[in-house]
Formats: sequence, structure tokens, C-alpha cells
Amino acid sequence: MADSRGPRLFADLNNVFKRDPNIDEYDILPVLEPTHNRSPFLLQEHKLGVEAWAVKVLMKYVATRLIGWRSQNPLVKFIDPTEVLNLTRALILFNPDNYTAWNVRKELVESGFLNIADDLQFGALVLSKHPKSAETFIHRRWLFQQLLDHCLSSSLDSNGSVAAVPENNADSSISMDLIDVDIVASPENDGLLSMDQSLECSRLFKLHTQLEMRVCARAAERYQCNYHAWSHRIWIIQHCLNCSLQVLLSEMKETEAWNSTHISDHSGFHYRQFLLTELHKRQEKLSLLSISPGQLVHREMAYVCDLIRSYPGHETLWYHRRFLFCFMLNTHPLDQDTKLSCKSSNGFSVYRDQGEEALKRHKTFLIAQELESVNTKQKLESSSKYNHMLLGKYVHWLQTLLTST
Amino acid sequence: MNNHNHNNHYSNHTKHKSEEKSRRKRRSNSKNGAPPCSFDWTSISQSTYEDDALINKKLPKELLLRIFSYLDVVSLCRCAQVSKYWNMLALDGSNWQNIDLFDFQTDIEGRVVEYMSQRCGGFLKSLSLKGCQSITDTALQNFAQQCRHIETLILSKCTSITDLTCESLGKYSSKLRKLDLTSCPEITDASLKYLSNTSPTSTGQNRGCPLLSYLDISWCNKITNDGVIALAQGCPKLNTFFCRGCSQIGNDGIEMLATCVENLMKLNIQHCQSITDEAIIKLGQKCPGLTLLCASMCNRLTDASLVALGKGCLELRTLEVSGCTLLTDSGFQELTRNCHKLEKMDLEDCIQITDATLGHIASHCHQLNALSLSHCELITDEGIRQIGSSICAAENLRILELDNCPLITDAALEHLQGCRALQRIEIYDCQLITRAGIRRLRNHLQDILVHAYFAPVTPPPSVGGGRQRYCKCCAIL
Repeated sequence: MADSRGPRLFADLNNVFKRDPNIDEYDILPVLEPTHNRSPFLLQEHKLGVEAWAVKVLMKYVATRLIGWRSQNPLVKFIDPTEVLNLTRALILFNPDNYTAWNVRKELVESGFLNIADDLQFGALVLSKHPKSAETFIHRRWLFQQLLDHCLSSSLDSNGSVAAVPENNADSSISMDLIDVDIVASPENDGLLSMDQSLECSRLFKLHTQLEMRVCARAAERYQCNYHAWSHRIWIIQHCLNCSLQVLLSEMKETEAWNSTHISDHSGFHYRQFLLTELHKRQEKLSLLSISPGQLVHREMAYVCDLIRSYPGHETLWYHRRFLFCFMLNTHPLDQDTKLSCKSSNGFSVYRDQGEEALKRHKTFLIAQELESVNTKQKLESSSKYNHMLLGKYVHWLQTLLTST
Repeated sequence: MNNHNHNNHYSNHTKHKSEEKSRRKRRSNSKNGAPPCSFDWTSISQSTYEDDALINKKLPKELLLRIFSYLDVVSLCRCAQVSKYWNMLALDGSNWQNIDLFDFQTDIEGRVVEYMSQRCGGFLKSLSLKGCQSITDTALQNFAQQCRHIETLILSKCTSITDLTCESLGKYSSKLRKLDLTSCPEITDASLKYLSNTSPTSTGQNRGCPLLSYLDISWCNKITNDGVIALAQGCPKLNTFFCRGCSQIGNDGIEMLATCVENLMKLNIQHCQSITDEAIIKLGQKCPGLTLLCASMCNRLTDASLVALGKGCLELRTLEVSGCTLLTDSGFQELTRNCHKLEKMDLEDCIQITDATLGHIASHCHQLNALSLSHCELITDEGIRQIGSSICAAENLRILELDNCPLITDAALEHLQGCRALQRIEIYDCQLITRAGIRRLRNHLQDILVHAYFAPVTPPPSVGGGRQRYCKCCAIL
């Protein structure tokens, strides 16, 4: 016999969301058996608690119905879209890696039954309980792609000049700046309505991208070394913000504080490494703002050294330092100069040899300098055994570098 | 249907026994050469081609047709694949009087309907296309022309149809009795005007649907009072009218309906929130035959409505007024004093009612079999005691919903122990009710379904079974 509580729990859950559409957090309460004849959904200040026993009953009911509907089982009654939406919501809340449910939601977004903004909000809610759910992030990327397409097509409608965008962007990502510029550039009689639409669209898009940063930060906060959250953030920077310089710089600034409170978070530091690499790629533009990439790397080096000193015994920091040092070695201005000279004076091997020789000398000098600084610091610090070991590893690595050059 | 099929084959075998023998000989002769699968096919295809199977010989065409007429769509389609003869018979229009595509498939295209209407022609009396969202006006316009004897047409959730469909229906389907247009958001007043033959644009050709007795236009939000007034004037035989969620329909439409329609029996105005007491009073005056009234979520209704219903609608059997928060005990007193035939009452969310209402129901409504008191927060054990000791409780009461009544305790369940007919009781979120209380009720009423957040009872673990197994082990050892 099917558990009669299933439909009721499902109705209860829907009621809870009807009462408070802005639930921003939920979790399972450790109540294994119903002790009172009371609804297992507790709602307080936008937070939802679900008693554990209810989850099993609810999931069984919801999954059977949704899968039955999906496989067009004639025994399952015709279900209308809102109901289907509620079913997927209930299923995903407690099993966020259910591909079928996410795919049903994608279809509903495509057919217009589900608002992209609503689905983004729901995804954020899911991430509050399951911050490492890969499927949720994938769905969000799909939603953003959808939003982007929407934005682009509506701005295409409003002014045919966006056709130039793909040419400008070699890597086929869409520049928000360009869309904005286009809108501002041609404010004339192309139809105010569609203009408004595209303006509205890009405004919405900006809003959601900002919110997305916050969602990523929250997910990263909830689960340490949250690879999915940080790589999602990278995706957003690359595809939705087109790695614009201001964004990269402000992200550098913002994550600095976060990283100094999460010193063991590999993924967080990897994100900073990504930002540095991207900034370095744009050094010509960067120089317009009178910032040199070398300056940034040096500051980062000082930052990580400071962290290592304040919090001894964290491997992540040492790895970050390794990255930075490598980065400094390979991207030194001298390096660039020699490369340039190589290009300009093709065939004059003497110059090139001299340049390479100078570079090699410079590198050895840098490594020696780094070795010395590490060693002197070692003397100053009364560090733990573990930190000592990490330091030893770093020194060893530097030495192998030295021999290889 | 497989039976017939089987018989068919079987008769083949018996009939061609001699032939088969000879063939078997031949087969054994050429055993190495011919693949064995080629054995039976020749005889079957031959016989089906000739249609000299025994069943076809023994039964005249008329009888076969008659047998087919009892089959559903799926079986008919299977039969149509048996033989050419059966194909002809199965697809004969006379078999296709009732088609319900809902159980079959809902993603059919318009041309399927057109093809079907060509085949069935005048034979088709009942068609259900529930949920076929891709059906368009053109398909249904053709259908209306072909199948003029249609009596029942279910088009609920065919979201793409518009007034054009109803125009054709008004033109050709003069025998239409039942029409379901639930959740067709494009339908407007014009549709109702076509159906009732009062449209200003209608020509002499338009006859409307004067026989229409059942109309469901729930959730067609574009329909207003005008449409309902036209309908009331053109379709006097209407006895069932459902317009759930048509928020633009107000007093004028319903009053006209009450006045013009001779014998209104069932009316559903759920979620029509602009409707007030005036419309219900008119119903009480003009519709003595009303058996079902669903006015849930019409939250402007007051006791005056209940008084009017009590005066005029003595036949009332079902009354749903969930969410009508203004109703009080005195209104229900007037109602129950006169409407003794009430069988089903939904009083969910009537938050003002108290035990007094339950007392009135208990003493007057002896036929009551379903009562919903969900969210009636003032109800106490005393009210349940009155229900439990009434005549209806002992004989008829089957369903009782008490969920979210916070004052109910285990004592209430004890009062219900005498309800022999009780099948289901809902007590979700009655937080004073305990497991023990439910268990006691279950001891008295074995088959009852108690719906609470507690786990439903599992059959008691068979103590004897375990012990026996143990004994067996001992025996083996």
C-alpha cells in the first residue's frame, strides 16, 4: 500500500513555499520518527527545517510520480506544468544531482512556464544545503547561457549593429561592455519598446551576474575547497563578464580578505591564480591604468609571505607561493624584452644568445634571492615541525629549479 | 482481443490439416535446404488474405461489428492489424462512437483528429482530447463539419484552441450535450455566444447547441458576465455549469443563469471572487432543483447565502464553501434546518464555525457521508462528540477531515468509535492526538484509514513465524 502521507507531505511542502517564496536556507532536522502529529516542515525567518523521517516518504512519492509522468506511464494521471514544477522542486531539494528533474526544469524554462530568475533563486536555495552539487552549477551555467542568448537576441532586435560583436570577440564570449556600448550608441528611432526590452534585459543580466558572485561566495563559504563553486565563478568571469579588467581587479581585491580567512582553501587560491593569469594576459590595457602586472605579482607575493608567517603549517599557502614564484620567473619583464628582441631581430643569433644568457643569469639570481629570503626567515621563526617540513620541501623545489636552469 | 487472434490461427491449423501434413513431409524432405522459419507463414498469409478463417465464416459481419463495438481504442487498433477483413471491420465508423485519447496518447497532431473524423463521420458521439495541447482550431473545425452527431466533447487543456472552434461547433454540432473547455485560456465570451446562437455575427447557418446540458469552462479567464448571460438565454437545457477560476464572472451572469435556465442542478463557481450573496439568493429563489453547489473561495459570501439556500434549494446534496471565511454558525443553522439531503459538505477554512454548527449538522443531516472541517480551528472534542453520536455517523459517514484542527484530542477519536461506516479520517497536524489514541480508534474500526503524520500501521510482526523457524532449526540440528 502506498504511504498516504506522501501526497500530504508534498502538499505541505508546496504550502510552505506558497507562504514564504523567499526561503533562503533549508536543512534536515534529525527527527527520525514523528513524535507529534505535527507537520514536519518548520518555517522560521525564511529558513526551512524538514524532519528527517518525512524526507524518505516524500521522496518516494515524488520520485514515483515524476518518473511515471516522464516515462508516460498511462497509470500516472495527466500532470499540469505547475505540478510538475513542484515535483521537480521537491525532488531536487533532497537530491540535487537528479539529472531528470533538472532536465524537466530546463524544458519548462524553454517552454516559458518557468522564469529564469525564479530558477536561479531556487538553485541558490539548493546550494545553501548542497554547496558542492555539480549538477546545480551546471544547470545555472545553462540558465546563464540562456539569459545571454536572450540578451543578445533582444539587443539584436533593437539595433542591428551588434552583428559586429562576434568579430570583436575572438573567443566567442559576449562582452557586456559591448552590449552596453551598443545600446548607448544608437538610441534613435529603432523602436523604443524593444530598446527598453534590451536595456531591461542587460540590466537583469548584470543584476544576476552580481548575485551569482554572491552565491558562489556563499557556496565556497559552506564547503571548504569547493572546486565546483570556484570553477563556476571562473566560468561566470569568462563568459558573462568577458574577463573585463575592472571585474578582475575588483575580484582580486574582494577575494583577498576571503582568502586570508580561508588559508587552507586550495580552490580559493586557485581562483586568485586564475585572476593573475588573466590580468597578465591583458597587461597592455593594464598599463593604461598605470598598473604593471609585475607590481601585482609582487604584492601577491608579499601577501602570501605575510600569510605564511602569520599562519604557519598550511600547505596551500606554500603551493600558492610556488605558483607565484614560477609566475614571476616566467613573466619577468626581461623575459618579455628578450622575446621581443628575438622577434624583431630575426637571424641575429648573437643578440638572442646574449639575451638568453642574461635571462638565465637573472633567473638564477632570482632563485638564489628567494632561497636566501626563505632561509633567513626560517631562522627568525620558531615554527612547528610540520611547517618546517613544508619549508624544507619548498627549499628543495627551489634547488631543483636552480639546477634545471 | 488476443483470444480472437489466437482462435483465428488455431482455426487455420485445423482447417489446413491435410495441407499441413503434406507440407510437413515436404519440409522433412528438404530439411537441410530451407530455413525452418519459413514453415508457417505461407499458410497464415494465405488464409488471412482469403479471410476464410473459421471465426469469419461462423459469425456474420454484423455480429463481428457488434463485438468490436465493445472494444476500446487500443484493442480496436490491434484488431485492425489482424487481417484486411478485420482492418475494414475494426475501422468501421460505427465502432468509433466513443474515443478517449487521454489514455492513449496526448501528443497527437491535428491531422490525426482530422483523419479520425473522416473515418468516424456521423457515428462519433463522444470524443475526449484531454490534454492534447497541439490540437488546433483547423483540426477541430474539420471535425465539427464531419462529425455532426457529436454529443460529448472533452477539450480540456487543449490550450491552443480559440473561439473559432466554438464557432464551428455552434454551426454544425446541434446535438452537442456535453462540452468541456477546462483550461483553454484563449476562449472568450464569443465562444459562449456561438454556442448559444446569440452571436451578432452568426448567420442563418448557425444553429447553436440548444441541447447543451453540461458545460465546463473552468479557468477560461477571459470569459465575463456577457458570455454567461448569452449562454443562459441560448441554452435553456443547461443543468451543469462549471466556471471555476473565471474571476470575471460576477453576480449578473449567475443571476441570469438562475433565471433563464429551467433546471440548473450543478453549479461550480469556485474562485469567482466577485460573486456575492445576491447571486446565491437568486439561486435560492429560482433553482429548487440545485443538487450541487461549489462556492469555495468565494470569500464574500455571508450567512445570507446560506439562509437563501436553506429556503429554496431543498434538494441540495453537495455544498462546498471552503475558504468562505465570513460564514458563521447561524447561517449553517438555517441551512441544515431545511436541507436534510446534504451528503457532502466541505467547510474547510470556515474559521468562524464552532461546535454549534456540528450540532446542527448532527441533528438534521442524516444522509451526510463526507465532511471536511480542515482548518476550522474552533472545533473541539464536544463538536466531534455530537457528530459521533448522530444518526449520520452510525450509518453513512464515510469520510471525515479534521486536519489542522488544533483543539482536537484523543477524546474526539473515542467519540467516533461508533461510526461503523467510517473509511477515512484525516487528522494531519492535530498536535494533541497521540499514537495511542489512533491505536484505540483502530481497535474499534479495523479497516479505517487514519491519515496522520505518524507512520501507518504495519501488520503486526508474526511472533509465531520466528519461533517456528527456530524450531525448524532445532529439528535440523
